[in-house]
Amino acid sequence: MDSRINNQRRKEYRSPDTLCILLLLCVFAFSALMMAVFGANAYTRISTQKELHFQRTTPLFYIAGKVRQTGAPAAVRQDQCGGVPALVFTSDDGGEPCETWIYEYDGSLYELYIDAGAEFEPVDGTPILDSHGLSFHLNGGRLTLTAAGQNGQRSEMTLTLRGGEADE
Amino acid sequence: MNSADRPRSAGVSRLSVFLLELIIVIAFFAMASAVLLQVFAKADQLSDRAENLSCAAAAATDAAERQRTLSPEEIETRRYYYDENWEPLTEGSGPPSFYAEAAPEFSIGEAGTLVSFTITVRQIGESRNDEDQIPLYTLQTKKYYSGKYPQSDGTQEKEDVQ
Repeated sequence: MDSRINNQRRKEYRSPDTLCILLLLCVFAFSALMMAVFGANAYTRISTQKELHFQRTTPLFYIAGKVRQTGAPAAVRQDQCGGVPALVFTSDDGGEPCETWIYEYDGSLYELYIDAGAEFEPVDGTPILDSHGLSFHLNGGRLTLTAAGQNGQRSEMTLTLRGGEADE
Repeated sequence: MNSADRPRSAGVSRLSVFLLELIIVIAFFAMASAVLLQVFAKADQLSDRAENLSCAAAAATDAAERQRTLSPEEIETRRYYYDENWEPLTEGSGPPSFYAEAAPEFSIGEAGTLVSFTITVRQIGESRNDEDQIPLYTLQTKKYYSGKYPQSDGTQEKEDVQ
């Protein structure tokens, strides 16, 4: 009889404490989950932003490097290879006229170094990096490049071809 | 001590100690969470600032290249506007969030004119006031022209949309 009464009293004492502990454990688990979600969101947002920025700017800086390496106005022209718009840099390789073709094909930026006048298909080039929308506009001594990221946002870069028309 | 009280007080004591331990752990976790949330917010903010700085440098370089193609008569203070994603704005395509301003300064010498451009990229605040503009990046560039070009109305601003 005594034992039964003791057990009942023990349960009465325990139940609010146990409930409180369970509640605290739930709070702890929920907070831990929320922290993990916040951390994951912050990481995802930052890495996505960096990736999109990379996609938008890297093709531009790559072509800018080529333009500054080669870019006399007479050595740069716009052309087409297999219906794909391309930027062509003419150079002289040991007395042989050569051309560097840069174009966007099949979701990549392609480059092809070839003898001037040689025939080729767009697939013959070397894919350099992913590209999600590249266009160029050559107007006198000014070359305007536009690149897009996977989300469609564009970046634009203007380059003056050295020895361009603006020199007085 | 009453023999009936012993197990009850031992049980209550164990539970209380466990509860206290749990409260301490949660308090510590709450403090760590507060610090981590601030770290996440700061990382996000720094990432935005880094991207804005990178885009501002590109916009300043772009503006400098555009100044290079201008004839001396066309030189004046010009602004190039960008939206919140740093896309160049065309006329009437939306409110600008950033702009690059190229301000020329003429220095006339005996043989010609040296034009120094100060290109400043600024973020436009929500209030759109001039005081609420945050400078992000400044670039200086110079170009020499063989003629003599007086600093006539170089302070006159012209908005240049692309």
